[in-house]
Amino acid sequence: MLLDSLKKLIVKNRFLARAIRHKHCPADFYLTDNFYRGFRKEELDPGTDKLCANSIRFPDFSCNWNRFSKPADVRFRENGLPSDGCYSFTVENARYKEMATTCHAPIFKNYAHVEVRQLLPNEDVLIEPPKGRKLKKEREGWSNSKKMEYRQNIIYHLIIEIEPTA
Amino acid sequence: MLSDSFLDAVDAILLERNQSRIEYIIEENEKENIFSQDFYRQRTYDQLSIPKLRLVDLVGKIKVDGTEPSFEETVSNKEASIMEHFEQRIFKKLIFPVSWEKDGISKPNLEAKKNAFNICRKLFESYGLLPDKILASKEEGIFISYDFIDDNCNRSLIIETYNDCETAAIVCNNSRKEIVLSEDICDLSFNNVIRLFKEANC
Repeated sequence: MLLDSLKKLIVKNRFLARAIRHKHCPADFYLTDNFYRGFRKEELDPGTDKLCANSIRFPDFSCNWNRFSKPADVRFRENGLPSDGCYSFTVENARYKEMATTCHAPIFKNYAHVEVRQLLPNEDVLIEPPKGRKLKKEREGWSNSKKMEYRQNIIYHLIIEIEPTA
Repeated sequence: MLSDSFLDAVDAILLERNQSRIEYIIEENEKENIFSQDFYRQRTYDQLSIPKLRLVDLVGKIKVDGTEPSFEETVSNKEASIMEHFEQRIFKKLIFPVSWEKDGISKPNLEAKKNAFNICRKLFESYGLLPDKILASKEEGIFISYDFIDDNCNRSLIIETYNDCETAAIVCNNSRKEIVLSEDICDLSFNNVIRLFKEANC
Protein backbone atom coordinates (compact mmCIF):
# COMPACT_ATOMS: atom_id res chain seq x y z
CA MET A 1 0.00 0.00 0.00
CA LEU A 2 2.72 2.41 1.04
CA LEU A 3 4.85 1.24 -1.86
CA ASP A 4 1.99 1.89 -4.30
CA SER A 5 1.46 5.39 -2.94
CA LEU A 6 5.18 6.08 -3.19
CA LYS A 7 5.25 4.83 -6.78
CA LYS A 8 2.31 7.07 -7.73
CA LEU A 9 4.11 10.02 -6.15
CA ILE A 10 7.25 9.28 -8.14
CA VAL A 11 5.36 8.87 -11.39
CA LYS A 12 3.61 12.19 -10.93
CA ASN A 13 6.68 14.13 -9.86
CA ARG A 14 8.99 14.50 -12.83
CA PHE A 15 11.88 15.91 -10.80
CA LEU A 16 11.79 13.08 -8.29
CA ALA A 17 11.43 10.48 -11.05
CA ARG A 18 14.42 11.87 -12.89
CA ALA A 19 16.49 12.17 -9.71
CA ILE A 20 16.12 8.50 -8.87
CA ARG A 21 16.06 7.49 -12.59
CA HIS A 22 12.76 5.74 -12.17
CA LYS A 23 11.82 3.63 -15.21
CA HIS A 24 8.20 4.27 -16.15
CA CYS A 25 5.91 1.55 -17.45
CA PRO A 26 3.59 1.93 -20.52
CA ALA A 27 0.61 2.67 -18.26
CA ASP A 28 2.35 5.82 -17.00
CA PHE A 29 2.06 7.57 -20.38
CA TYR A 30 -0.89 9.89 -20.96
CA LEU A 31 -2.46 9.59 -24.42
CA THR A 32 -1.73 13.26 -24.98
CA ASP A 33 1.97 13.04 -24.08
CA ASN A 34 4.27 13.93 -26.95
CA PHE A 35 7.41 12.37 -28.31
CA TYR A 36 10.15 14.31 -30.03
CA ARG A 37 12.23 12.90 -32.82
CA GLY A 38 15.06 14.52 -34.76
CA PHE A 39 15.44 14.63 -38.51
CA ARG A 40 17.72 16.16 -41.13
CA LYS A 41 16.88 18.40 -44.03
CA GLU A 42 18.22 15.77 -46.43
CA GLU A 43 15.43 13.45 -45.25
CA LEU A 44 12.72 15.75 -46.63
CA ASP A 45 11.15 15.03 -49.99
CA PRO A 46 13.10 17.37 -52.31
CA GLY A 47 9.96 18.08 -54.36
CA THR A 48 7.74 19.27 -51.51
CA ASP A 49 10.15 19.86 -48.59
CA LYS A 50 7.93 17.68 -46.43
CA LEU A 51 8.55 14.49 -44.51
CA CYS A 52 7.25 11.34 -46.16
CA ALA A 53 6.85 7.82 -44.83
CA ASN A 54 10.13 6.86 -46.53
CA SER A 55 11.99 8.76 -43.78
CA ILE A 56 10.50 6.76 -40.94
CA ARG A 57 11.86 3.41 -39.89
CA PHE A 58 9.74 1.12 -37.84
CA PRO A 59 10.44 -0.54 -35.47
CA ASP A 60 13.67 0.89 -33.99
CA PHE A 61 11.83 4.06 -33.29
CA SER A 62 13.66 6.07 -30.63
CA CYS A 63 12.39 9.40 -29.37
CA ASN A 64 12.33 11.73 -26.38
CA TRP A 65 9.39 12.03 -23.99
CA ASN A 66 8.13 15.61 -23.65
CA ARG A 67 7.65 15.13 -19.90
CA PHE A 68 11.42 15.16 -19.51
CA SER A 69 12.76 16.98 -22.55
CA LYS A 70 12.33 19.83 -24.99
CA PRO A 71 12.23 19.63 -28.80
CA ALA A 72 15.75 21.05 -29.22
CA ASP A 73 17.17 18.25 -27.05
CA VAL A 74 17.02 15.92 -30.06
CA ARG A 75 20.07 17.76 -31.35
CA PHE A 76 22.12 16.25 -28.52
CA ARG A 77 21.33 12.66 -29.47
CA GLU A 78 24.02 10.39 -30.87
CA ASN A 79 24.98 11.72 -34.35
CA GLY A 80 22.74 14.75 -33.75
CA LEU A 81 23.61 18.11 -35.34
CA PRO A 82 22.78 21.70 -34.31
CA SER A 83 20.99 22.07 -37.65
CA ASP A 84 18.62 19.13 -37.09
CA GLY A 85 14.87 19.61 -37.07
CA CYS A 86 12.40 18.01 -34.69
CA TYR A 87 8.91 16.62 -35.08
CA SER A 88 6.49 15.37 -32.47
CA PHE A 89 3.63 12.88 -32.28
CA THR A 90 1.42 11.70 -29.43
CA VAL A 91 1.16 8.47 -27.48
CA GLU A 92 -2.20 7.96 -29.16
CA ASN A 93 -0.50 8.08 -32.59
CA ALA A 94 2.21 5.70 -31.42
CA ARG A 95 -0.46 3.22 -30.30
CA TYR A 96 -2.25 3.32 -33.67
CA LYS A 97 -4.53 0.27 -33.99
CA GLU A 98 -2.63 -1.24 -31.05
CA MET A 99 0.19 -2.14 -33.42
CA ALA A 100 2.83 -0.77 -31.08
CA THR A 101 3.33 0.79 -27.70
CA THR A 102 5.69 3.20 -26.02
CA CYS A 103 8.35 2.01 -23.60
CA HIS A 104 10.41 4.25 -21.40
CA ALA A 105 14.03 3.21 -21.89
CA PRO A 106 16.32 5.67 -20.11
CA ILE A 107 19.91 5.62 -21.33
CA PHE A 108 23.04 7.03 -19.72
CA LYS A 109 22.86 10.58 -21.08
CA ASN A 110 19.16 10.68 -21.89
CA TYR A 111 16.57 9.97 -19.23
CA ALA A 112 13.75 10.98 -21.61
CA HIS A 113 14.58 8.22 -24.11
CA VAL A 114 11.53 6.23 -25.27
CA GLU A 115 11.28 3.35 -27.71
CA VAL A 116 8.21 2.59 -29.81
CA ARG A 117 8.01 -1.21 -29.90
CA GLN A 118 5.88 -3.53 -32.02
CA LEU A 119 3.13 -5.62 -30.42
CA LEU A 120 1.83 -9.06 -31.27
CA PRO A 121 -1.84 -9.10 -32.38
CA ASN A 122 -3.22 -9.97 -28.96
CA GLU A 123 -0.83 -8.01 -26.82
CA ASP A 124 -2.12 -5.09 -24.77
CA VAL A 125 -0.66 -1.61 -25.22
CA LEU A 126 -0.02 -1.48 -21.48
CA ILE A 127 2.46 -4.35 -21.46
CA GLU A 128 6.11 -3.77 -22.27
CA PRO A 129 7.38 -5.89 -25.20
CA PRO A 130 10.98 -7.10 -24.94
CA LYS A 131 13.67 -4.79 -26.31
CA GLY A 132 14.93 -5.52 -29.80
CA ARG A 133 12.05 -7.81 -30.71
CA LYS A 134 11.29 -7.45 -34.40
CA LEU A 135 8.14 -9.00 -35.78
CA LYS A 136 8.08 -9.33 -39.48
CA LYS A 137 6.26 -12.28 -40.87
CA GLU A 138 2.57 -12.50 -41.59
CA ARG A 139 2.15 -15.27 -39.03
CA GLU A 140 3.23 -12.83 -36.32
CA GLY A 141 0.54 -10.44 -37.45
CA TRP A 142 2.94 -8.09 -39.17
CA SER A 143 3.60 -7.50 -42.82
CA ASN A 144 5.41 -4.79 -44.76
CA SER A 145 2.10 -3.18 -45.69
CA LYS A 146 1.01 -2.99 -42.01
CA LYS A 147 4.33 -1.40 -41.12
CA MET A 148 3.91 1.09 -43.94
CA GLU A 149 0.38 1.90 -42.78
CA TYR A 150 1.74 2.59 -39.29
CA ARG A 151 4.48 4.85 -40.66
CA GLN A 152 2.05 6.76 -42.87
CA ASN A 153 -0.21 7.34 -39.88
CA ILE A 154 2.71 8.92 -38.02
CA ILE A 155 3.31 11.17 -41.06
CA TYR A 156 -0.35 12.25 -41.02
CA HIS A 157 -0.26 13.28 -37.38
CA LEU A 158 3.23 14.56 -36.75
CA ILE A 159 3.82 18.21 -35.96
CA ILE A 160 7.03 19.94 -37.00
CA GLU A 161 8.42 21.55 -33.84
CA ILE A 162 11.68 22.81 -35.32
CA GLU A 163 12.53 23.11 -39.01
CA PRO A 164 15.95 21.75 -39.96
CA THR A 165 18.34 24.43 -41.16
CA ALA A 166 20.83 22.34 -43.13
CA MET B 1 20.36 14.88 -78.00
CA LEU B 2 18.92 18.02 -79.56
CA SER B 3 21.20 20.93 -80.30
CA ASP B 4 20.97 24.22 -78.41
CA SER B 5 20.06 26.03 -81.58
CA PHE B 6 17.14 23.67 -82.14
CA LEU B 7 15.93 24.19 -78.57
CA ASP B 8 16.23 27.95 -79.04
CA ALA B 9 14.19 27.65 -82.21
CA VAL B 10 11.49 25.67 -80.39
CA ASP B 11 11.40 28.29 -77.64
CA ALA B 12 11.18 31.07 -80.21
CA ILE B 13 8.21 29.44 -81.91
CA LEU B 14 6.45 28.90 -78.59
CA LEU B 15 7.19 32.48 -77.53
CA GLU B 16 5.73 33.72 -80.76
CA ARG B 17 2.61 31.69 -80.06
CA ASN B 18 2.62 33.04 -76.49
CA GLN B 19 2.57 29.46 -75.26
CA SER B 20 4.69 27.65 -72.67
CA ARG B 21 6.33 24.32 -73.41
CA ILE B 22 4.01 22.48 -71.06
CA GLU B 23 0.91 24.06 -72.64
CA TYR B 24 2.20 23.00 -76.03
CA ILE B 25 2.66 19.43 -74.80
CA ILE B 26 -0.80 19.36 -73.21
CA GLU B 27 -2.26 20.51 -76.49
CA GLU B 28 -0.34 17.87 -78.44
CA ASN B 29 -1.36 15.13 -76.03
CA GLU B 30 -4.98 16.13 -75.99
CA LYS B 31 -5.02 16.13 -79.77
CA GLU B 32 -3.57 12.67 -79.88
CA ASN B 33 -5.42 11.46 -76.81
CA ILE B 34 -2.44 9.37 -75.77
CA PHE B 35 -2.60 9.84 -72.04
CA SER B 36 -5.55 10.06 -69.70
CA GLN B 37 -6.92 13.58 -69.59
CA ASP B 38 -6.51 13.74 -65.83
CA PHE B 39 -2.81 13.29 -66.04
CA TYR B 40 -1.61 16.46 -67.73
CA ARG B 41 -4.42 18.61 -66.43
CA GLN B 42 -3.45 17.95 -62.85
CA ARG B 43 0.28 18.25 -63.06
CA THR B 44 2.26 21.39 -63.60
CA TYR B 45 5.61 21.43 -65.32
CA ASP B 46 7.52 21.24 -62.03
CA GLN B 47 5.34 18.54 -60.50
CA LEU B 48 6.12 16.33 -63.46
CA SER B 49 9.75 16.37 -62.36
CA ILE B 50 10.78 15.32 -65.81
CA PRO B 51 13.97 17.13 -66.83
CA LYS B 52 13.27 20.10 -69.06
CA LEU B 53 15.36 18.76 -71.90
CA ARG B 54 13.40 15.53 -71.90
CA LEU B 55 10.12 17.39 -72.28
CA VAL B 56 11.56 19.45 -75.08
CA ASP B 57 12.82 16.21 -76.55
CA LEU B 58 9.24 15.00 -76.70
CA VAL B 59 8.27 18.10 -78.61
CA GLY B 60 11.38 17.75 -80.76
CA LYS B 61 10.52 14.26 -81.86
CA ILE B 62 7.29 15.56 -83.32
CA LYS B 63 8.83 18.48 -85.10
CA VAL B 64 12.50 17.69 -85.69
CA ASP B 65 12.54 17.13 -89.44
CA GLY B 66 9.54 19.22 -90.21
CA THR B 67 7.82 15.97 -91.17
CA GLU B 68 4.93 14.52 -89.25
CA PRO B 69 5.69 11.08 -87.78
CA SER B 70 2.96 8.49 -87.75
CA PHE B 71 0.70 8.17 -84.72
CA GLU B 72 2.41 4.90 -83.74
CA GLU B 73 5.85 6.48 -83.98
CA THR B 74 4.80 9.36 -81.80
CA VAL B 75 3.35 7.07 -79.16
CA SER B 76 6.40 4.87 -79.25
CA ASN B 77 8.75 7.88 -78.92
CA LYS B 78 6.84 9.20 -75.95
CA GLU B 79 6.71 5.86 -74.19
CA ALA B 80 10.41 5.35 -74.75
CA SER B 81 11.10 8.74 -73.22
CA ILE B 82 8.96 7.98 -70.18
CA MET B 83 10.75 4.64 -69.67
CA GLU B 84 14.08 6.43 -69.97
CA HIS B 85 12.86 8.89 -67.37
CA PHE B 86 11.97 6.08 -64.94
CA GLU B 87 15.35 4.53 -65.55
CA GLN B 88 17.13 7.80 -64.82
CA ARG B 89 15.23 8.43 -61.61
CA ILE B 90 15.57 4.91 -60.25
CA PHE B 91 19.01 3.80 -61.39
CA LYS B 92 20.96 7.03 -61.69
CA LYS B 93 19.41 9.90 -59.78
CA LEU B 94 18.10 8.27 -56.62
CA ILE B 95 19.35 10.23 -53.62
CA PHE B 96 20.33 8.34 -50.48
CA PRO B 97 20.86 10.59 -47.42
CA VAL B 98 24.37 10.46 -45.97
CA SER B 99 23.03 10.28 -42.41
CA TRP B 100 21.15 7.05 -43.17
CA GLU B 101 24.36 5.47 -44.39
CA LYS B 102 26.01 6.46 -41.10
CA ASP B 103 23.11 4.86 -39.23
CA GLY B 104 23.84 1.55 -40.96
CA ILE B 105 20.87 1.59 -43.31
CA SER B 106 21.48 -0.24 -46.59
CA LYS B 107 21.02 1.51 -49.90
CA PRO B 108 18.39 0.09 -52.27
CA ASN B 109 20.00 -2.86 -54.05
CA LEU B 110 19.75 -3.74 -57.72
CA GLU B 111 16.81 -6.09 -57.18
CA ALA B 112 14.78 -3.37 -55.45
CA LYS B 113 15.64 -0.95 -58.26
CA LYS B 114 14.61 -3.45 -60.93
CA ASN B 115 11.37 -4.09 -59.08
CA ALA B 116 10.72 -0.36 -58.77
CA PHE B 117 11.29 0.10 -62.50
CA ASN B 118 8.94 -2.77 -63.32
CA ILE B 119 6.28 -1.31 -61.02
CA CYS B 120 6.54 2.12 -62.64
CA ARG B 121 6.38 0.56 -66.11
CA LYS B 122 3.44 -1.66 -65.22
CA LEU B 123 1.41 1.17 -63.68
CA PHE B 124 2.17 3.45 -66.59
CA GLU B 125 1.42 0.91 -69.29
CA SER B 126 -1.65 -0.61 -67.63
CA TYR B 127 -3.21 2.39 -65.92
CA GLY B 128 -1.55 5.48 -67.39
CA LEU B 129 -0.11 6.48 -64.02
CA LEU B 130 3.10 8.43 -63.60
CA PRO B 131 4.77 8.55 -60.16
CA ASP B 132 4.97 11.83 -58.29
CA LYS B 133 7.78 10.72 -56.01
CA ILE B 134 10.51 8.13 -56.34
CA LEU B 135 12.68 8.16 -53.23
CA ALA B 136 15.00 5.90 -51.29
CA SER B 137 13.37 4.45 -48.20
CA LYS B 138 14.75 4.14 -44.70
CA GLU B 139 13.19 0.68 -44.70
CA GLU B 140 15.88 -0.33 -47.22
CA GLY B 141 14.13 -0.14 -50.52
CA ILE B 142 12.45 2.31 -52.86
CA PHE B 143 9.40 4.43 -52.11
CA ILE B 144 7.09 5.33 -55.01
CA SER B 145 4.12 7.62 -54.56
CA TYR B 146 1.24 8.50 -56.88
CA ASP B 147 -1.07 11.38 -55.98
CA PHE B 148 -4.58 12.08 -57.17
CA ILE B 149 -6.00 15.50 -56.42
CA ASP B 150 -9.32 16.94 -57.49
CA ASP B 151 -11.79 19.43 -56.04
CA ASN B 152 -13.23 16.98 -53.54
CA CYS B 153 -10.48 14.59 -52.73
CA ASN B 154 -6.78 14.17 -52.28
CA ARG B 155 -5.51 10.64 -52.17
CA SER B 156 -2.26 8.80 -52.64
CA LEU B 157 -1.09 5.39 -53.65
CA ILE B 158 2.21 4.56 -51.97
CA ILE B 159 4.24 1.56 -53.00
CA GLU B 160 7.46 0.37 -51.41
CA THR B 161 9.68 -2.32 -52.80
CA TYR B 162 12.38 -3.67 -50.52
CA ASN B 163 15.85 -5.14 -50.83
CA ASP B 164 14.44 -8.57 -49.93
CA CYS B 165 12.28 -8.35 -53.10
CA GLU B 166 9.00 -7.90 -51.21
CA THR B 167 6.54 -5.18 -52.21
CA ALA B 168 3.82 -3.46 -50.21
CA ALA B 169 1.23 -0.83 -51.09
CA ILE B 170 -1.17 1.46 -49.26
CA VAL B 171 -3.97 3.69 -50.50
CA CYS B 172 -4.43 6.82 -48.42
CA ASN B 173 -7.14 9.41 -48.21
CA ASN B 174 -5.07 12.52 -47.47
CA SER B 175 -8.14 14.70 -46.93
CA ARG B 176 -9.31 12.52 -44.05
CA LYS B 177 -5.83 11.45 -42.99
CA GLU B 178 -6.73 7.80 -43.11
CA ILE B 179 -5.35 4.70 -44.76
CA VAL B 180 -8.02 3.07 -46.90
CA LEU B 181 -6.14 -0.12 -47.76
CA SER B 182 -2.83 -1.74 -47.01
CA GLU B 183 -1.79 -4.78 -48.97
CA ASP B 184 1.30 -6.84 -49.71
CA ILE B 185 1.80 -7.17 -53.45
CA CYS B 186 2.65 -10.42 -55.23
CA ASP B 187 3.55 -10.76 -58.91
CA LEU B 188 2.89 -7.09 -59.66
CA SER B 189 -0.82 -7.57 -59.10
CA PHE B 190 -2.14 -4.09 -58.36
CA ASN B 191 -5.80 -4.55 -59.27
CA ASN B 192 -7.18 -4.02 -55.76
CA VAL B 193 -5.08 -1.03 -54.87
CA ILE B 194 -5.62 0.68 -58.23
CA ARG B 195 -9.37 0.14 -58.03
CA LEU B 196 -9.48 1.78 -54.61
CA PHE B 197 -7.04 4.49 -55.61
CA LYS B 198 -9.16 5.46 -58.59
CA GLU B 199 -12.56 4.93 -57.07
CA ALA B 200 -12.05 5.74 -53.39
CA ASN B 201 -15.17 7.45 -52.19
CA CYS B 202 -14.26 10.75 -50.62
